[in-house]
Order: sequence, then C-alpha cells, then structure tokens
Amino acid sequence: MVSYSHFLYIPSTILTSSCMLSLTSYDHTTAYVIGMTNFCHVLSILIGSWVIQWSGMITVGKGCDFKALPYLIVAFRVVLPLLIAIPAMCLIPNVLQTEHMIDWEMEGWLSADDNTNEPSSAGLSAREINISDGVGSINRHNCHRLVVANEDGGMDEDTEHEIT
Amino acid sequence: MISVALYEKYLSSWRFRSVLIFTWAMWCLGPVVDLIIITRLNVAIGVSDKVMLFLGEGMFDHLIGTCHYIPMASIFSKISPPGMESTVYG
Repeated sequence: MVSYSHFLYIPSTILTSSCMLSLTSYDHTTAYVIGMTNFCHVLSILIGSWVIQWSGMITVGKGCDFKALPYLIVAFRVVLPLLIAIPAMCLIPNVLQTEHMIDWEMEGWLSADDNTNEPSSAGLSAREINISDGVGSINRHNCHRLVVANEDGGMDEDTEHEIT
Repeated sequence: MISVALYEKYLSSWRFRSVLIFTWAMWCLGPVVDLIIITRLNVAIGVSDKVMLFLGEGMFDHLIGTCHYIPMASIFSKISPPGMESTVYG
C-alpha cells in the first residue's frame, strides 16, 4: 500500500500545477515527470538485480543460498528508506493538517493583474483567462476578484472589483 | 477501519511532517517480521509461519500503510489547484 511513488506525486503535482493553464507546458511537464519515473523505476530494478548478484545469493537451482538475505533486507528495506525518506520529509511544510499549504490567490489562481498585462504564473493574463473558452473557462469559476494595478504599477488590494 | 480510527484518535492533531516521519519509521519496521520468519525465530518461540505472515504482511503493513496514506492524500488535496483536482488526481 505504501510506496515510494507517494513522494513522487508531491513534486510532480507542484510542477504540473504551476503550468496547468497552459496545456502545452502541462503536457511537456507531465511527459518529463513520467519519463523520469519510468527511467528511475527501471534503474532501481537493475540496481536490485546487481545487488542480489553482488551479495552472492543463489536464487535458482538446487543449491539455493539466501544467507545474505537478512542483511539485504535490513540495508535496503529498513536503513536506506529511513536515510532517504525522512530527510525528504523535512521539505514538506511543517503545518497542521487543518492549515492551508498554498495561498492560491498569491499564486495567481484566484486573482491576477489586469492592466499591466503581465503574464500570470501560467503565462496568461487575467483578462485572457476570463474571456477565453476551453482551458480558461476552468478557472473562470474561481476568478471571483480582479486585482487592478495602481498608476505606479503596484497592486492595491482596495481596488478589487467583482467580476460579473 | 482500525487504522482510520487509530489515526483519527491519535495522529490527526499532529503536524504533517511529524506524522509522516512517524508513520514512515513505523513502516520501515515492517520488514523486521520478514526477518523473524527468515531467521526462523518464530518457530523457536512457538509461533507458526502463517501467524507471523498474517501479523506482518497481512496486518501490520496495512495498518501502518493506511496511517501513512491518509496524510499523503490530505497533502495532495491541499496542493491541487482549485478546480483542477480531477486533472491532478488523474
């Protein structure tokens, strides 16, 4: 039930979510992540086969020898996962399970700059997102507010307008 | 059901990092049951292989696995962009 792929999902989700509004970059990122996944999976199988051969175990035939198996289990199923996974978990924000991890409004998913016409995190301005069909319509329901830039180009939270 | 109840009672108030480290450390103790079977310690203490297999792969792994999966699923739901959950999960 528990597998290392759980830890792969987190960076892959973060990566793909940053380019979700642009389908081309989403496809490229997904292909890149899946390619890395398959490559590392095959590589781990090859390394495992090499370790079994290197340990001197005989797994087929009449003279089977599994004397090294307990050491391999301790090394590769107890020690190695602890050494790799626990430091990796320190990268996860240490927040309560009831708290939010990502401010989607700050990330540009719930509001975006309109006047400056600067691209959002997905490469599209707020107006482009709201008036386009297809991909943009997905985010239309979430764009409740439109943040308008000041004359000096800065963002002012007081000048938010409701989109009807 | 048991693991969900245990998680709700004892681990749901923990922080993400703490609960993930704890459940992962517990999951890494699962192969100890395999070690006991391989080294035949279970026979020496009078426990059959079937009981040890049931306690290890059948119960312990699923118990800890579910406790580890719950916070992971919670993290996925939190890092999925609003309105794009099905795409991310798909």
